[in-house]
Amino acid sequence: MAFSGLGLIPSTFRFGLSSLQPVEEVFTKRIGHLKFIKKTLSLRPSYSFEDYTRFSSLAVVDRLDHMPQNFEKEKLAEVLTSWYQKAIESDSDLAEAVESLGTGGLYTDQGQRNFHRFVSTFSRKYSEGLEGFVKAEMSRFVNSDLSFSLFDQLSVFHRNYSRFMKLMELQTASLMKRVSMYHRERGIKRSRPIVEEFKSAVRPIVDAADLARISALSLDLYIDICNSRDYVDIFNRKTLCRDRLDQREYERLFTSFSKDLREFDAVLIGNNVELIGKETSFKESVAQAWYRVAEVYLSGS
Amino acid sequence: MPRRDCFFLDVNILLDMLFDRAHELVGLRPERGVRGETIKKLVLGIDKNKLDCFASSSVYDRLSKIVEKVNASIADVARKLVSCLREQKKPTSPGSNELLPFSIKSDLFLIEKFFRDEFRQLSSEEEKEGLRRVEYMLVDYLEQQLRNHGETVRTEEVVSFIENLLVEINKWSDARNTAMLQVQQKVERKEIIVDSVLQQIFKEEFGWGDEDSSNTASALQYQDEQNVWVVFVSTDYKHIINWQEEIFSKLKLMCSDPIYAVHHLLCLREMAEPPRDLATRL
Repeated sequence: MAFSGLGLIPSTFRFGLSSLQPVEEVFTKRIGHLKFIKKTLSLRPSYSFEDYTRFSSLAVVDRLDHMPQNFEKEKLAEVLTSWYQKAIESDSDLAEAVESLGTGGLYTDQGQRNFHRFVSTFSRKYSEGLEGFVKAEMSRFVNSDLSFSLFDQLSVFHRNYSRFMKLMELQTASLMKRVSMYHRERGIKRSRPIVEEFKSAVRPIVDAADLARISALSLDLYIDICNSRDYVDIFNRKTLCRDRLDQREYERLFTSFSKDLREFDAVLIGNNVELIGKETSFKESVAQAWYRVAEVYLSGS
Repeated sequence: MPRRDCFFLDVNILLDMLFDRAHELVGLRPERGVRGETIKKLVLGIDKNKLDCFASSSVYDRLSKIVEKVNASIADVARKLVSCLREQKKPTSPGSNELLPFSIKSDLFLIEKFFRDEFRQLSSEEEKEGLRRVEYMLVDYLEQQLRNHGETVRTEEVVSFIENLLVEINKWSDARNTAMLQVQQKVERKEIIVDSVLQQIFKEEFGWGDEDSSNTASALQYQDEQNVWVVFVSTDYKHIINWQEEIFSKLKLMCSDPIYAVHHLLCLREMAEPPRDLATRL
């Protein structure tokens, strides 16, 4: 996957949706042949974008059961976090959108406007970069010996993710309209339930997006670290080889990703099939040619 | 309560439904002649008569395998072709990373030779025909991309065109994935563990392979277990429809082309319950 700071959106979206929540952090450390696992439970408010970046990285790394010898989960999460932060800082529009998000939450007019601006900026950026992400996946396929279905599904994930952000953009625009209407007519107290209603309506979509994103990233990160010499080599362009992977771990992560992707797709269809139709395109001649190949394998069955 | 007689669809019908649904999703109408019209007629008949429509897990699994096989056959050939072009056009001057230019007039024959070499490695007719169609797809796409170029083009750009074709395949995968979820809502997947004795009978009686025997045996098993008439709908004349009378006479499973499927089901509805003596018939 073309790793990108844009991949943080669902976690950050949750920033506006949740407040205090229990968080379990698991750290694994290897000393010689011994493996130490430390678990801590804390209740914490979702205060900052940085917090979410860190949680997001931990969630991605925690999915990996098998680690190549040169790497440790804790350090890997740090590398991922700092990579995300650099990606955001290097894009002035994104950095500004994150900055303006602040900690206002969704209960104030300004907070809602900032949130909508934040979602719109991420959505626009992702949509602009989409064909580039997919092209990068196809180049990675051509320069690897891994199966096409891996890169094909990762690209489908990018396409779904772009739709997800469009959907969130539409949803937050409609939230702002409704809250402002209620606010004018019935005051601040009465407009609060609208925000709550909005939160419960979008939560299943955000959950599905989050799960698919974490699965996609952990699969991709696993392939990348297995093909990297050290931490510095992660995210650099490289030739990916299947032999360097633990096949069972790869299959496990790929199966889990495919399942989460299907569920993400189903949730999106359930929420706005017209938008999906509008955001989908293909060349008729390519589909026809594909069908003609399929006919051969059908008749051979 | 009336009996819920139903259809079980074969993999060829599901693939056609998937193809049409993906086109509808983006507002396109595929040009598919009689075959497309037949599927449309079947879908209209199902909706009009409110008929239940299922596909066994073996049929859905087969469909997924075909989709993956087609994608892989196109993408793997594209990857090999890129590697062949990089090899043939590798830089000759020391220190240069730039591949030698691709001559539109003569280097298309490199692609011709590449495919000839690929064909030589294949033995099955199915694989050869599959490769022939992939070759047509790739060459046709490259010709379109190279149309407005001069006499030569950077080989890196030709590689980029090949990657663009894979991007197009991915767009199609994306539409098809969404269409698949919609087809699954219309045609429910039935998890059926096929009785091996029953499957063997289909194999022995009609000389079928694992897939056709498993798909039809699943339909018959459902008919027997649920006590409803099932029509197995397929466009596979060679293996299935040509055996329609023999299958019905021996095993009481109706197999039909989509054109007649609704008529067969409505006709069976008029009859008594399906026979429940499958065990004694085996």
